[in-house]
Amino acid sequence: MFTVNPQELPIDRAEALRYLGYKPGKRKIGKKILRLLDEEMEKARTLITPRGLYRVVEVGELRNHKFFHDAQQIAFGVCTIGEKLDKEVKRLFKSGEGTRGVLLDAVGSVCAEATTDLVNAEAEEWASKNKLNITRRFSPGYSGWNVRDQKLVFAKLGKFTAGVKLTSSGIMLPIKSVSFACKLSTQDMVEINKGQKCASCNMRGRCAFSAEEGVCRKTAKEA
Amino acid sequence: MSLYEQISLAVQKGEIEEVGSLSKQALEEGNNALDVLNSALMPGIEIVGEKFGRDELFIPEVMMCAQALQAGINTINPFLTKEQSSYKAKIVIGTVANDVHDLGKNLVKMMFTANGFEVIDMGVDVSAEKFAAALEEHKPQVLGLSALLTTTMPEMSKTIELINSKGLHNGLQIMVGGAPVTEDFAKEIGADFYADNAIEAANTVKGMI
Repeated sequence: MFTVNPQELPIDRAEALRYLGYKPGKRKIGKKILRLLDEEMEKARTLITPRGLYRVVEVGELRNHKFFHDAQQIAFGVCTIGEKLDKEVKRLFKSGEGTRGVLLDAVGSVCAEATTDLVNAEAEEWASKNKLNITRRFSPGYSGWNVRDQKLVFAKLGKFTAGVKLTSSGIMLPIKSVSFACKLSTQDMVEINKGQKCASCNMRGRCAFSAEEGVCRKTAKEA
Repeated sequence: MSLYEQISLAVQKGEIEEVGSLSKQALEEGNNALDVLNSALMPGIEIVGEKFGRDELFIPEVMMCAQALQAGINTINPFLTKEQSSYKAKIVIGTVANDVHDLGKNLVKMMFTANGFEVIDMGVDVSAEKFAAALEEHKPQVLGLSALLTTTMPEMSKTIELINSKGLHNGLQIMVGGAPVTEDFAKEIGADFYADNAIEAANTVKGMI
């Protein structure tokens, strides 16, 4: 399992603002909101325990699954920041501090994704070492993947869940958790997560292909 | 600018302490508490709702305005008569069974409270039976059901079915909301209203009363 020092986790303020509905450059954001957001970002570091893992499995029976038919292996992963931050969000709402509550909740989502970025990068490094192409990550409930398949992800993770539990309705606990899958193959694969484009890819700027092609080889451009 | 306009503007700017102190000043100058509520505080939050509808304000700012409104209401409340201070409506609210998400529900609750409604918050993972029992106990005018996932949306339907079978829907307006919930789904399951966001939820209930 990978653990991240909360003080070292990159928390992207712009991403938190995006979660809150703000669009870059569209409208000036009030100083007070930005100050409160910065305070909640700092507070978040005292409330999170970022951790996660991934597990590579053979595609097996999942070659019949519409998303995995072109994979040889699949890296399933789960990451969390723990439950303290969510408890603090609840406390803030109960005490009438909804502004801070909504800001901290957004920061928590950013922290969970940032943790997942790091674990995802580890999976990409493993793929690279093993000379495998790896797709961008995709998660149940997004990119057209049914949220019910959370059960599939957790079945494949087995006992390796970084302490994250899955309820019967497919909700991960702690709430601020992210599960994901990346396809692995020596061949080309269709990207499932087309919306993510290349912004978070470690091959950004070096890749021979564009996200618009819908095919990702994580292949560096030839010099 | 009149004092009432200053209060309204302070609500719109989310100036929590200023709304409190200006409301106090309005009372000290001999203004009627109910008048401060209806002519200064509520017009302020109504403009906030309009701005949110035009994408001029976002959720954190709306929350700040709601907190500012609450500060004003807390200041004037002791000076309202019992009849004046009685809530405009009673609302039972909660996240349906098997769903533990509550951010959306909490935002809606805050807007309801700021708009002078009494809110009985059932929390998360609330079974149909618990909702039905709360309706029998509290006899609210409105029930608000929240769900975040497609897997938990059917619980809304189950809850409404139970409420109907117990004859508790008469005189009760049921509102549903949550990320995957749509107006069509609301109609399909027999809900009376669908709200896309917290402001719309509060405005819808205001329109009912």
